[in-house]
Amino acid sequence: MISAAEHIQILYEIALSIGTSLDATSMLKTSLSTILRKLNCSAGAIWKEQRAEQSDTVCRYEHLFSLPRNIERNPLYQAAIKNIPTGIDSDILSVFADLLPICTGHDQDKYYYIVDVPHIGFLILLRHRTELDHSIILSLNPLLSKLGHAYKACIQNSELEEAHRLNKEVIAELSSKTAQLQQTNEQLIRENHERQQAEHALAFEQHLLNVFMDTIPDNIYFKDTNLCFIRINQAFAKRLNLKNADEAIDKSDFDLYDREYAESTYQKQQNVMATRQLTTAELKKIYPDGKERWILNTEAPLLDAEGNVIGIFGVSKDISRRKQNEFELRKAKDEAESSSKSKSVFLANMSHEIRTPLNGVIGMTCLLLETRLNSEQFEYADSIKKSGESLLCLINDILDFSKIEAGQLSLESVDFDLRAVIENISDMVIHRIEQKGLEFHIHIQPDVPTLIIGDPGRLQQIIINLLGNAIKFTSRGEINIAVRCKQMSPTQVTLHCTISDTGIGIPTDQLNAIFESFIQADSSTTRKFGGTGLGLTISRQLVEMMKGDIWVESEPDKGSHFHFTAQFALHADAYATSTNETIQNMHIVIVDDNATNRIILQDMLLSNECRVTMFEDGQETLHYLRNSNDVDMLITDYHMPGMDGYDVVKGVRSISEHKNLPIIILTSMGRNYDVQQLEDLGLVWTLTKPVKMQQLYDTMMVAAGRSQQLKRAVSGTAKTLDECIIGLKNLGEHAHILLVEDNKINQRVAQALLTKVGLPLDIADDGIQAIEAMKKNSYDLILMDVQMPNMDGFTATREIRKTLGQREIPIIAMTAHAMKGDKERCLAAGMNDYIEKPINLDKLFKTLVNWLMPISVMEY
Amino acid sequence: MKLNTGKTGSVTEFEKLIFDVVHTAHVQSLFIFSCDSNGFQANEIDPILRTIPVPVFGGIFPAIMCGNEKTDKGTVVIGLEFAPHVTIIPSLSNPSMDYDQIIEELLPEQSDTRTMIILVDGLAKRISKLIEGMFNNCGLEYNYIGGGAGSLNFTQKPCLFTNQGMLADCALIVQCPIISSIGVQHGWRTVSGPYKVTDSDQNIIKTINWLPAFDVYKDVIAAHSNLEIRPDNFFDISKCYPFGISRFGAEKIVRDPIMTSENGFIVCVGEVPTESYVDILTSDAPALINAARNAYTSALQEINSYPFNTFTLFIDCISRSLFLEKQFQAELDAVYHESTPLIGALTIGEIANTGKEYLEFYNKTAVVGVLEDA
Repeated sequence: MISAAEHIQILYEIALSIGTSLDATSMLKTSLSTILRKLNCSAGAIWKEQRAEQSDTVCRYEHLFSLPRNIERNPLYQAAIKNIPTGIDSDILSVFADLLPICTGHDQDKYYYIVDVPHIGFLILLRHRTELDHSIILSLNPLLSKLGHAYKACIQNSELEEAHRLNKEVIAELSSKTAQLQQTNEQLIRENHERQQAEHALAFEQHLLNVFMDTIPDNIYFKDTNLCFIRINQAFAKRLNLKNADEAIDKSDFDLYDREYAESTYQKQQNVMATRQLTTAELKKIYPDGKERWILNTEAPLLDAEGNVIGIFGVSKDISRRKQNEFELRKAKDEAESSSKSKSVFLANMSHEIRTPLNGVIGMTCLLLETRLNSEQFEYADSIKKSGESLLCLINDILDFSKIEAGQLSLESVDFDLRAVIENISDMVIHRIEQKGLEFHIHIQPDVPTLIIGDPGRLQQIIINLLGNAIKFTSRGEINIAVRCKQMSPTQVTLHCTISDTGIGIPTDQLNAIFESFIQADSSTTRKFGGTGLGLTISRQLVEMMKGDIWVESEPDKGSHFHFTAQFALHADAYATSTNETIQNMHIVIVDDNATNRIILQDMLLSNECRVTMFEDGQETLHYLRNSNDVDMLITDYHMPGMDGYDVVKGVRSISEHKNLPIIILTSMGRNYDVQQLEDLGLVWTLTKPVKMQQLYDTMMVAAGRSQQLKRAVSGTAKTLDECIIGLKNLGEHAHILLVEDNKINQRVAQALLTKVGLPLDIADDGIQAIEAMKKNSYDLILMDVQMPNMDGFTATREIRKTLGQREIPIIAMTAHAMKGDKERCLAAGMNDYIEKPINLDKLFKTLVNWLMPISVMEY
Repeated sequence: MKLNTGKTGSVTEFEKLIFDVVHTAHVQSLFIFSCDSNGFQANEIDPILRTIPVPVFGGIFPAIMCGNEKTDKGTVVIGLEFAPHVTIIPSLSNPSMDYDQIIEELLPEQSDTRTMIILVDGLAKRISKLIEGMFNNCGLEYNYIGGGAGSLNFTQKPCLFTNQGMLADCALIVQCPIISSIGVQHGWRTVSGPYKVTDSDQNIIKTINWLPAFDVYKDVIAAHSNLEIRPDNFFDISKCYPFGISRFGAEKIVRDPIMTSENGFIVCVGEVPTESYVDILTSDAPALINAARNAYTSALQEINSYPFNTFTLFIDCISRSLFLEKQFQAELDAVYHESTPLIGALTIGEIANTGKEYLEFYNKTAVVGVLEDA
């Protein structure tokens, strides 16, 4: 038995456990758990009564909650629920309710209790061992009533919460709808505002268009697809003699212009709509008032927002005044061009006419200088010759300039050997360079193509112009030509040429002006150095014609670097090798104090796949040679500081292993050296600087013993005048020459010159005579004038080559046609070389040597 | 059943005992009792436990029993000839855990389960909630027996043996297919009360009758025994004066006060709900020993009708042993019969149910289980 106090404690704790939560399940769990614990029951279950909707009477009972959850497996529980009516008979159910509480002992010490729980149904408690005190069962009634109320409160709370939840959902949905409405409203306001803005913008656009249309003096018009006016501007209305612009609406050109004009414009405007293309045309138009005007008419298709053509619109500008100006300008231009052409023809004729007597003056002066003169007479005659030559240069420059200005100069496009063209330039200038004691080098980079297509004469002219300046303004040091590839494509090459000197240089502020016509850097230099100032201008224009640039870098007192680029087409054999197999793989030792020359020689030799070892001075070279036995040849400069070329050769010969080493000595033309002294040292060959590649290879081949009958190879093109004269004299009667020339003075000059070297000469007055002579005699060389009566030089040459089949005989053109491109025309006609008139003694003899005495057979 | 005992308390001995039992024929699982004074460290024991090829469960207790002998050092390893399912319930102090739901999710349906052995970390704070969850899910369909492992210095540390290693703050629910009969009795009686617990937090009584719990408790003890209980001698005296929570028609649920805090709170083994009424209890040696004997007798009554061998599993509260001191042997003798092997532990809280009462977590109670020796 428990005490009353314990009784109260137990009920108190059960009471406290009821209604601790508003969640029905949680509340039932806490309450039932406490009931079970405090009453020491082994299980418990709460059943719920279901009431009929109409009568509110209990219609059935069903399980609501139990602890433990698996109570159904408990046999005692199964016994207890057998008391519960399963039917829906309300009377039986009512009787059952009245029976509560049910307290039943079952199977010895097992008990179950079914107790009424108001508002829910009933509670089943299972207990073992001892029976529950009846008083406590009765005491439970108010607590279970409280449990029922609490449960009802939970259900109501749950319903309230559900209602609240639904309410919240409705409110949320309302809020959402309100927000959507608000958004829509704001959107409408925004759209309205935007529409107003758009309307304002449209009105403003309309205003701008009206202002534009009413202000512009040109005709502006819009037409529909029937080409009736939709709108025109005031200016157009006025020209159409209409009172206002609206009068034109729905009218077409047929209503306003004559039928011919209307039909013409109708077709054009239909075409604009069909092609959707904007068209602009200058038209002659006759307005309804009868006035004839020129207009510049622009018409375009008028498209709607979807891009459909809905008509055309156009603007017509009155250009009558401009047309009048153009007419007058064209007339003036035609007159000017006619005048310019006359001037060019005049200049060309003048050139020829001036050159012919000048040829006589210079030629005769040369002959005069060959006669016995006293010093005063020689001086006067020499002055005449130099003045004549200066005048000739001047005429050449002026002629070129005139032709360029007149647009009559065009570039040739012929195949040529770039290296030969550039190296040959040295022949033209080497005397002047040597006279000034300057070093001169030509460095063509190995990657520069050999055969290209372009205008070699003009290229040479540019380089000679620049070189001429360099020589003119340089008193000491060196002058170099460098050529390299700037850009290369499969079909074209852009070359970059640099002509450098160590001369007086050009002040920075004058660098930009020197390529302008008639300008030299300093007007004082004109007086000091002479010249027309046209050379650089001509060069610039030629370079531009070759799609290149020309510029200069210079520093006063240090020298100048003239650069130019030029574009050429590549020949199919642009890189055809000129490799000489006989000297391939030779080990060559080079000694030269000049670094530029060393590099030039090295490039040339490496191109021929030689092995190269280089030294700056003789001592190092000798040291090397003493310790080497695989050297095939030595190339040494003659003029070197310290140990010169002679000492080097001498030193080499003192080395027993190199007593027979082939040696090539590089000499400069103006410098003296003892030929005999060199010959005494055995197996020594000389080459004049600047070294040409082919000459180098030829000399090396001879020196290496590949051509045993020769003792010495000498430069063919760099021979001295004296050497040439000796050579030609040695030929004597073995070389028979035909001179074809109509001018008697020139005949006499040529005859006098050739007789001087003992060459027999026949003379023909024109081409026909020349062919006749050819048929009768055998000649070794023909000197051919170009411009002759009856048959000119070109025709004669072609006849000799084709008709007579004489393809080998050298034909040298002699022409006063000093226009550039003449040489190429001569070569194209089948001639071999070209001498400009007036005839230069030096040039004539050297050309004769070149063609009559090939290098391989020259022997001294 | 294969029983192996060692008294050195060494790790080597522990390993050897396990090895021997595991390799005994028919052994399918291990039930291990070890003493706290063995000083086992998880890093030493875990590798051994993890290599055991059969299910293992057990714990470290203040003292263990084998036969009619209690020991403070050593290990008892029992090889069982069945393979129970062991479920680990973690976080046994976490106030946000719903053990009712966790048990529903983790505990498998084992149709052959007859007895549940429940071992808990005795110093975890929500053991009663776990037991309530067990009752709600499983009811009294099975017999329950078990107790709290841990150390008498009341410091929580790994104290349960599992195949994962030693664990703390968790419970092991071992579903066994063996028949059992359980007897439960404590023998404590009211000396004062009831007192209303006006504020508590899990197993901590903060106020009694709106006064600091320690002050009320101290006055009652002083009035009863003239002893002055202080924080430094708290458990020496409190072991004689536990709290009791009333229930109808059964012994009170005892709550063992084990320490007091600076702010006058009293820490118990097991929860004491707020608004519950507690009495202050006391007892004497004969009453306690008699209670143990009654528990044993009660258990025997149930199982004697079965025709198989049995063994006795004695789960007795450590504080009873401390209270009884030398007379504890009499309590042990009261539940021991030479014909029946006895194994057991002195625990921090006891779990038991005979299948006839609401499932509870007890303190200071003698639980005697007579189990089928399968």
